[in-house]
Amino acid sequence: MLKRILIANRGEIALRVLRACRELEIETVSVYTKGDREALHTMMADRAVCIGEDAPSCGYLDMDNIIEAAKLTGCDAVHPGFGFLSENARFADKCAENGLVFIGPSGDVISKLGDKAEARKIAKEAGASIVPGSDGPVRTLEDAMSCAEEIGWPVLIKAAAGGGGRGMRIARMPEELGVAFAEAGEEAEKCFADGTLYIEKLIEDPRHIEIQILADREGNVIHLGERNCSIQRRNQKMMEEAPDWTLTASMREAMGRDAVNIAKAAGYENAGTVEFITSGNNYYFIEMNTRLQVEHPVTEMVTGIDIVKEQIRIASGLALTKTQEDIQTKGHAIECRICAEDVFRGYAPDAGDIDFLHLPSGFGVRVESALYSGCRISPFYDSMICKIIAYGDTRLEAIRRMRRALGETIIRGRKTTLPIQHLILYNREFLRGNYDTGFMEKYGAGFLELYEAAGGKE
Amino acid sequence: MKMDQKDIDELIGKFKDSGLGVMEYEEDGFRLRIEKEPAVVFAAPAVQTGANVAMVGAAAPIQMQQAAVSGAGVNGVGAGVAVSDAGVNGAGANGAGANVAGAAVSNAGAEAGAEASAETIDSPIVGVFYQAPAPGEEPFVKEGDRVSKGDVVCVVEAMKVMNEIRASYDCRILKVLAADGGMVEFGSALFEVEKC
Repeated sequence: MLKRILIANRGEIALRVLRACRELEIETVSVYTKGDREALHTMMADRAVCIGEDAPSCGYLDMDNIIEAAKLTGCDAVHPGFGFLSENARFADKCAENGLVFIGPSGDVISKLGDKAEARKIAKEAGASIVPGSDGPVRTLEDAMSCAEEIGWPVLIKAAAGGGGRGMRIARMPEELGVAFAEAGEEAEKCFADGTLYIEKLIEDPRHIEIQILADREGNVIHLGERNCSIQRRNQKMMEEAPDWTLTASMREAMGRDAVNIAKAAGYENAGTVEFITSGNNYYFIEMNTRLQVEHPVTEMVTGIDIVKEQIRIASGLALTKTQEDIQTKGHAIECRICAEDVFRGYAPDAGDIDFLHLPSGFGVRVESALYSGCRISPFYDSMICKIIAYGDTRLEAIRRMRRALGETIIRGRKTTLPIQHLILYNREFLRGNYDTGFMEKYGAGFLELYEAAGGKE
Repeated sequence: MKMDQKDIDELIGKFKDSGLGVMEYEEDGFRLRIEKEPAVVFAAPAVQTGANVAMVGAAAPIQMQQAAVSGAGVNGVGAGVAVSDAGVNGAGANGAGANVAGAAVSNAGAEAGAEASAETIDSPIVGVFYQAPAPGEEPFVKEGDRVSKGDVVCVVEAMKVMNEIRASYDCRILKVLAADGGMVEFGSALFEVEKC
C-alpha cells in the first residue's frame, strides 16, 4: 500500500482525497499557493508545501514544483484530483519518471483518450455505438461537406483536442457549414493549440448519462452503474443523480458492458468515466474522462463503494476486491453543485469572503466542501464551493431530503446558485425524472423569475 | 572592449594573487567565470593553488538555469554558466554548508521572514537550497556581505537543475534563513537582507 500521498489539488476535492488517505492511514502532503495559506486543505494535511502564486497559469499547474515537493517530502504517489493536472499526460509521465505513482491511468492512455477522434476509434473498435460522424479528423471544408451530407443535418463540428464546449460549432444546413468550420478551427487553434476538427451528427437535447468504471492493473474492469448529469448550464453540470430514473434495464446493461469494453480496449487503469448521450432508446459514446469526477459521490452513495479509496488501492497495485456481480445499487442519490455565482449576472463568479456558514447535516445528507465561516473564495479558481449530496431509499425521498438540506444551508456573504437548485427540485419535469440537457435552457429563465419574485435580488 | 587570450591570461594572474575565490565577468554575450579550486572542507584557511577557468557553455554535469519567475524577490540576468562539480545531488550532500552560521531555519523560513517584516530574498521554486556552487566551495554570499543587483546569492536545485537565485537589488546579506541542503518552498525566505 502507498504510504504518503501528495494531493495536487485544492478545495473540496483535496479534502475528499485527504479524508480517504486518513482512513487508510496514509500520510498526506498538500500543496498550496500563497493565497491558499489558510485554506482547509493546507491546514488539514500532515504537511503542506507552498508551490506558487495564485494565478491560473501557475501554482497548481506547476508540475516541477509539485513533483519536487512530492520527492522532497518523501511521497510515493500523487493524487491529481480533478481539473488542474488530472488529465495531463505529460504530468502523469513526469511523475513516473520521478519514481512517483500517478493515481490515475498512464500518460499514454490519457493522451489516447484525451484525443476525441482517437477515443471514438477505440470505442468503435470495442463495439460501442458512437455518434455517427467522421471517423477521424476532417481536414478540408470539402471533406466536411461530404461527411455532413452522409450522416445528415444538423451536424456538430468539434475540436479533436477540445472540451468544455470550446472549439465546437453547430451547422444546421449546408450554407452554415463554411462559417462553422472556420470558426471551430480557429477557436480550437486558440484554445488547445491544435486546430484538428471532426464532425458528428448533432443529437438535439440528448440526456447525458455516464458510467463509472474501476480498472485494476491486472486488467479487471467493473462498472458501478450510471449517473444522469443532464441538468447543465452551458455544458456545466449543476445537478446529478444516480441511478438514472428512466433508463431501461437492457440499456443499463448494454451501456455498462460497452463502458467496460472501452476501458479494456484502451488498457485503462484506475477510476474513469465513460460518457454517453442517449436519445430515446439509442445511446452513443461521446468521451471518456480519465480521472475522478466531481459527481462521483452519487455513485458512492448508491453502491457503498468509496471510489477514492479504490483509486488508491488500484494505484498501490492491488486487485479489485469486487466482481461485477458484487455490485448492487441501492436507493437513490442526488448531488447539487453549489457555486459562488451571481445568477442574475449570467452566473458570474462571486469571489470574496464567506461571512457566516451553516452546512446541512442529518440522516442521508453528505457535504463535500472546503468552506468555513470567514474563509475567502479565491477569484482564481473554480466557483464550485460545495457539493451537497442527499441519499434516500427512493428517488422521492432523496428529493425531499435534498430540499430539506438546501433549506437549512446558509452561505452568507456570497451569492450562490443554491436557490436555483432548490427551485429545480420542485420542477414537474425534474420530478418525473425524464429531463434532458435542454432542461436549463427551457426552465432557467423561469427559475430566475421565480427567485426574483421571492426577493432574490434583495 | 572584447577580451582576448592575453587579457584572460593577465586576469588569471591577477586573480591568483587576489583574495577572491570566484570571479565572473560578462559583456555582450561573452562570459567568463574564474574560480579557485575548492578549499578542502574543514581546512581553513583555504590553500589556494591554481585557478579553474570555465567558459560559457562548457559542458558541465549540471547546467545552471535561470529560474523563470515573476513577482518573486529575484530576477536574474543571463543564463548558462557552468558549474565545475556535480556533487550537489541529494539533500545535505556534504561540506557545502561550512558557513550556515547557526541561522538555519528550515521550513519555517517563510514565516520567520514575514514575521520580522524585513526585506528578504525568496525562493521562486520548490527545491533544495545550496549556499555554494558545489560541495566544499565557498558560499556565494556570507552574512554581512554586500551584493549588487544581479549577483548570484545561492542556488536552488529542482528537477536535477541548479537554479541560480540572484539579488534583485543592491543589498547587504543580514542573515541566511534557509538550511543548506534543506528543502525550500515557493516563497520561502532564503536571506534576510537590507537594501543599500
